[in-house]
Amino acid sequence: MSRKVLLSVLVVLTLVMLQAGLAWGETPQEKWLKDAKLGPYAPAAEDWQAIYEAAKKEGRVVIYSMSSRVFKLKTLFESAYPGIEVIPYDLPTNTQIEKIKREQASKVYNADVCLLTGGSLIIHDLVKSHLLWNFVPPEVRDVLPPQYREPIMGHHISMKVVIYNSEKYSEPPVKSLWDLTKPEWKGKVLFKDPFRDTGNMEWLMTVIQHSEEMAAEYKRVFGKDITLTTENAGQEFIKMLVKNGLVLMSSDGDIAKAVGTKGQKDPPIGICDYGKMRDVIDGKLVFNVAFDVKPVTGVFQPAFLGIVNQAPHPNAAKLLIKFMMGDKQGGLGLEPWHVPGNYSVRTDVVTPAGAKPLSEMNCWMPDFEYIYYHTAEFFDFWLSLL
Amino acid sequence: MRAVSQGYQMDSVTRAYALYRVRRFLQTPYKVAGAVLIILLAYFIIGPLVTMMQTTLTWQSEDLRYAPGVSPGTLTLFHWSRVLFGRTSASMLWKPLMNTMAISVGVSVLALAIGGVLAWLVVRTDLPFRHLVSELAVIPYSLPSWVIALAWIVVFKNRQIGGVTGLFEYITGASPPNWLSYGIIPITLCLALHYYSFAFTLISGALSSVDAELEEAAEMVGATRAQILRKITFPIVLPAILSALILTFSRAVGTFGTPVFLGLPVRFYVLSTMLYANMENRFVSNAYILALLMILISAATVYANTRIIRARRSFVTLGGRGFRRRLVKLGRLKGIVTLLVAGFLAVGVLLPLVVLVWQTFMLIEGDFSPSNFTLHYWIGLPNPRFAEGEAGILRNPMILGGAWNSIRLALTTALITGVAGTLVGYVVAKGRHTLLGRAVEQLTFLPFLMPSIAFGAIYLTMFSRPHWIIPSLYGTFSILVLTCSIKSLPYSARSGISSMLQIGGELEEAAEVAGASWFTRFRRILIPLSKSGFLAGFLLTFITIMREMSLIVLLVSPSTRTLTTMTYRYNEQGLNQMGDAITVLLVTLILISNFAIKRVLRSREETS
Repeated sequence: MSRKVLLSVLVVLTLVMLQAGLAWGETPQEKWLKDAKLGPYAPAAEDWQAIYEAAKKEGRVVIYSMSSRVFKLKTLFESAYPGIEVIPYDLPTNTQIEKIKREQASKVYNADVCLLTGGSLIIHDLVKSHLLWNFVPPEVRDVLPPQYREPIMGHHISMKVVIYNSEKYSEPPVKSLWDLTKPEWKGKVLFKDPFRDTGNMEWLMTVIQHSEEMAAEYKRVFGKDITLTTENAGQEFIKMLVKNGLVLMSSDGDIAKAVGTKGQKDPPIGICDYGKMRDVIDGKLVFNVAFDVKPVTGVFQPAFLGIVNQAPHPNAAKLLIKFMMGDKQGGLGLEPWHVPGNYSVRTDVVTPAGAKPLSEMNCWMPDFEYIYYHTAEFFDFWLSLL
Repeated sequence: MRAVSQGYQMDSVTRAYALYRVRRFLQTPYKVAGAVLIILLAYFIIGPLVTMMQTTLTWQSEDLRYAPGVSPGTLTLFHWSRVLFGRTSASMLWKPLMNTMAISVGVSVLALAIGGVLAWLVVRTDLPFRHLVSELAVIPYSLPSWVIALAWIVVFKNRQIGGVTGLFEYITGASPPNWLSYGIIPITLCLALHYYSFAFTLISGALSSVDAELEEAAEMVGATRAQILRKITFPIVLPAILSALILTFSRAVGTFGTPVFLGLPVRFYVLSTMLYANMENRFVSNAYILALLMILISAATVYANTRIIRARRSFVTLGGRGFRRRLVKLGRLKGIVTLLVAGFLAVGVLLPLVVLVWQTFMLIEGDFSPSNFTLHYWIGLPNPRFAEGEAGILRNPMILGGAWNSIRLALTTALITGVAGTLVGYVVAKGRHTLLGRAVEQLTFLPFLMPSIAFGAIYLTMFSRPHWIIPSLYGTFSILVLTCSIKSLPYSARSGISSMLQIGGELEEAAEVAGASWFTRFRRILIPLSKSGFLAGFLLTFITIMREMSLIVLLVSPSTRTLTTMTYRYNEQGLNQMGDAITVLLVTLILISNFAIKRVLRSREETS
């Protein structure tokens, strides 16, 4: 009898102690979240003056960025917020994800902010496992479409589109994606190696996901139903593109140069980042986007922005992110990305000078859930074409 | 009582004998060093292999993309069956495998021919400007391997890839055919132009240690020049030739940059580029399987090599006697040979450099007119119109920091492996016919067989969390040093072994009789005599690490980035002028350090 009492007392005691232990022994992650006021502890409104003061004490902010324009950002931010140094690192998306995962596994906290594309991997590998935290400055919350607010905030949208040499052709020489599979473009379509760029992988997978539109477009162009040797019209398009001598390149810059160099007799066509348009505006190259290509001229590629788990400079990180989101006119922080070919995810920002409004860009948006679960299948399919 | 004391005696005898054996072991320095080496090597070399094997045999979290139901960590043969026999195995494995083999064999033979002939001309003939030739001949090796490929594209680019066509078309008016512009032929040629310096360095080293007395003796008994070459010179340099062949072969198997630049446009894949594709897309198990197969290929080569070496007799050519060299007169051929060598150096060595330097002075790429000349990419202030608004490289603190990292890494690694290589050489030379010696030799060679990119990936996995007594090294400079040291051990070990093998045992024995301790013997005899080998190994490692990219690309953290990891990123983004300017800076640094190191060591030699 007394034994039972003793036992129950012990059990209760243990439970109480456990409870207390849990409350006292909060994890470093939780402590960081509380201190940084992030995740569940994010306030409804931020006191930016206090954040700036705290950021000055932190002294610096480290950003991993898939866009080399981050070097421009450094100059802009440091002049706007003296006392905080930006340490920019230009790393491709895949490398960033790999790095963050490794660093976190070995409790090395280097980076504060990540700017990266590849939505499917960000969500599955970083956000879901709390390696990257979403931070939406309260000021912009209402001007962001829902898909760019959660689970991770978007920053800007770029897109890979069909481009042609505008010196040689006054009109776009292609009207449909299927035109790229015709004999006159044999060996003359340039595309960045999808093995080296998640964006291009997503491009092709998005075409496959839209097989029905591709089949309808085939019928419109060739006047007959498509005969499939693969699983669907999207795969068939990719297969025909490769068999037509698709040229794989290592960078979009090289594609823009190959298509847009002046004085060419027989220039190729490329599928390339619209942002390379800057070289046309600067007078270095001559190319244009084939805006009216059907069913689409390309595929969107949103870039996302987040704070790395247990970042050493969370206040400076918040400040930098707010700065990067810009204002209605674009603003200093958005300036490097407020150029033709890039669009802020904010709905209230004016279209960059010399660009078509985003709503007129006829592109597909990748479906990141679809992409995550079809990457392996696509990898095999692409391999079988090589 | 008697029996007991006898037993006691027996016991003490065995114990004394055991003690004697232990003491004997401890007094045989090569055995102690060998045992320590074996433990270290097993940890750093076998460990990663086991990790790799394990990865290929278990489900990974990345596999959830294939098979959503599986639980990561459980055993499976899925990856192996997929890579070897799956529906994509032809594209994934067999085609790239055949391409890799064809290229590696081609490169080894070509590189050996070029390097061997040049080495013989420089060391053993009266070719004019020999010193200059040997300085120039090693330059390609100090360039990142893809530089020649980039230069090749500048010259042979055809209309397939639009834009400005190459120099070839500019001059001849005809577009070069695809097989000349891209694919297996240019890849083989470019790699041979890069890797011949390996054969050149090793063979010229071996040739300069051939005592002319041997050849004179043969001449005196009436041997012809061809006979001497075949019967005396050739057998003596055979180990160097075989080493060169194998080093070249395994490097070619693992090379990455050149096949990417010259193979990609025509969708030509080799094992390394396929491995990279898998790695990039985080199909790590597939990548490791490809890596293991690459290791297997190279291991088979080494096995063949040891069979050949075991069959041949070994020669001691560095005895305690005097030593001199004699030069072969080229005679009537001198003019033609000189011209050929000059032509080769101009086209194979200087042209890529000139193209590269020229590129850095072009404000807009491909515009060769004088008005386009600029120093912007060197010393320009940030201008948003060019290079994404980055300052010229000599004004750019990040790039200068990278330069310092490159030098620091290369020097540390070269020093560590230089010492380790000499030790390995000693153990192997002394224990040539023992299991210990052979085991050390085989183990030190293993890292060479592992493709750089896979090696980097494995070390990243192993050491990014605490591993036994080693703390987490992620993001530190130490992990770079560790990885580079282990990976380049084969170089220094090879030169350590071959220089130790040439030192006759009689010298050390004499010193031992005279009462010199092991340390004194090592310091006073072995080190001075093997110094040229040590130096060769040191320089090779230094240069290799300075221009190493694929090994460390996964391991560098923002603060430990080196010049190569930066240049590749710029080239990949199409900011070629910036990338090329960094490469030129890198090459300049290598050449200066090379010169400085040689100078310092030479002056020390004179004063001592």
